[in-house]
Amino acid sequence: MRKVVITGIGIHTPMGSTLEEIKDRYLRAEPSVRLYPSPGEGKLRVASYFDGDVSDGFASNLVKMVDRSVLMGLRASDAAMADAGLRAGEFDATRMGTFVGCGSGATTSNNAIHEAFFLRDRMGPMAILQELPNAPAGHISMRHGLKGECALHSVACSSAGAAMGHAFRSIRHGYLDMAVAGGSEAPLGESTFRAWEAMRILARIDPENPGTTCRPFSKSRSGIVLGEGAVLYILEAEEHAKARGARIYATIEGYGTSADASHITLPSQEGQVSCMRNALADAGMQPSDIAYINAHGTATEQGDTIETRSVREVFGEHAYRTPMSSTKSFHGHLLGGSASIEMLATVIALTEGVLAPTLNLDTPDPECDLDYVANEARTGVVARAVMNNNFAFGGSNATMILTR
Amino acid sequence: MTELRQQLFDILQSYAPPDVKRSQIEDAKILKDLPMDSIALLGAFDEIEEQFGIKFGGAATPDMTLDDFETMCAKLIAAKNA
Repeated sequence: MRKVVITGIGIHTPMGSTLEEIKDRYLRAEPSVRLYPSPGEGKLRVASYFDGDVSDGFASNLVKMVDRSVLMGLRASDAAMADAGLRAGEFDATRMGTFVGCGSGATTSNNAIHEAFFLRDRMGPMAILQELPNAPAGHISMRHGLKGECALHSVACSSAGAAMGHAFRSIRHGYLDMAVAGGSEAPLGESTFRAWEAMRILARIDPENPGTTCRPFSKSRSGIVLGEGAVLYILEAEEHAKARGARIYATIEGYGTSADASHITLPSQEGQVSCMRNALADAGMQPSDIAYINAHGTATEQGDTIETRSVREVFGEHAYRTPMSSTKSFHGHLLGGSASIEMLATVIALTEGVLAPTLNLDTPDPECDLDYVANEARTGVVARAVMNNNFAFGGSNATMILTR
Repeated sequence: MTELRQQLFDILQSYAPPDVKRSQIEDAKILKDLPMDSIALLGAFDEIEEQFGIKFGGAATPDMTLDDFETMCAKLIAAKNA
């Protein structure tokens, strides 16, 4: 089996567009969650979202046929390819794949298409192309001429984790030499907010301090905050990367996945434990090898409690000595894009020795009794191995383990 | 060139690949000769309908000449405004 390394990172998020900007956000404890402009009076909403037009700079014929999630993914893919020093024609495109996670699909386009249909009896000829579930992966492969396997993973909040896991395994076992992998999610829109609100799962908002809305592991947590963005990585066989002199950020040592097979929304401790143990076994590691965990940490009452129990079961006493933070307190929940934006925290822990904090954690829930790196980043940390967890509606779980 | 033809070319151009020059749009005699695929052409038809508040009702086809297409658009717009 081949070693798989990360040689490029493309970031297109409201938190920033470089690893340095993300790290600085962690150090300044500055979230990108803020008030979200909503139609109608008295409707208070928060989210992590882009200002301006995400289509700026793209050709008009492309913009007319794709969803917002595709444009964000393309932007991140451009950055990832450039960061890895990959230029079309200079590598074997048949040995490079594309694996993208997107949980909620073409939300922006779906809203516009259905509004036009129901209110104006109109259906544009681009509707199918705009709603195409695998469009983010397809357009990224077309843009960069990548001719290896091309797939979109949609397993709710683990989508990007599943995509990166698929890429990792494909390279490790020799089917590919390189892959673009990660997630892109653009879930914001009136119907999406209404749907999550109807489910009573969105967090209560303090209009004076919207950045404090997402409160993972806190006694006062009240639900999730939505966010958008795309983060894609270039995964590469280690020998391939070394042969071309590529910079290596980190090594992916193991990937684990499992299914809860129990409830469509309620997480299962058994499923999460199985997922983390599968990743540890895949990496050939013990729990005591892990120096930092990026939690799924949605800030839901059940989710955070069950995740804490799961980590305690896997890590035993070492759980209390292993820092674990939820960066959703910074950027909200990117749903299918979560695993990729959150893996940034694990890369920064390894390469910069900075542990991202969990914001808004003044009074922890007594049921959540681990070290959540409350409110302030830690610096000067020497982490050999780190873990990234994502647990989804539908019971699909994904864990990735990285080393320097 | 009429103002309407300019407007139609603007819409058609916006559906063409970015490397297509304006002259390639203007030089086409028949709609299917335009440098864009059939889905893009359908997208342009749809946007023209939306922008001018008209309905082609299936009458716009790739085999039409650009002159006939412009004439048809002009008639539909005039009928709408009458």
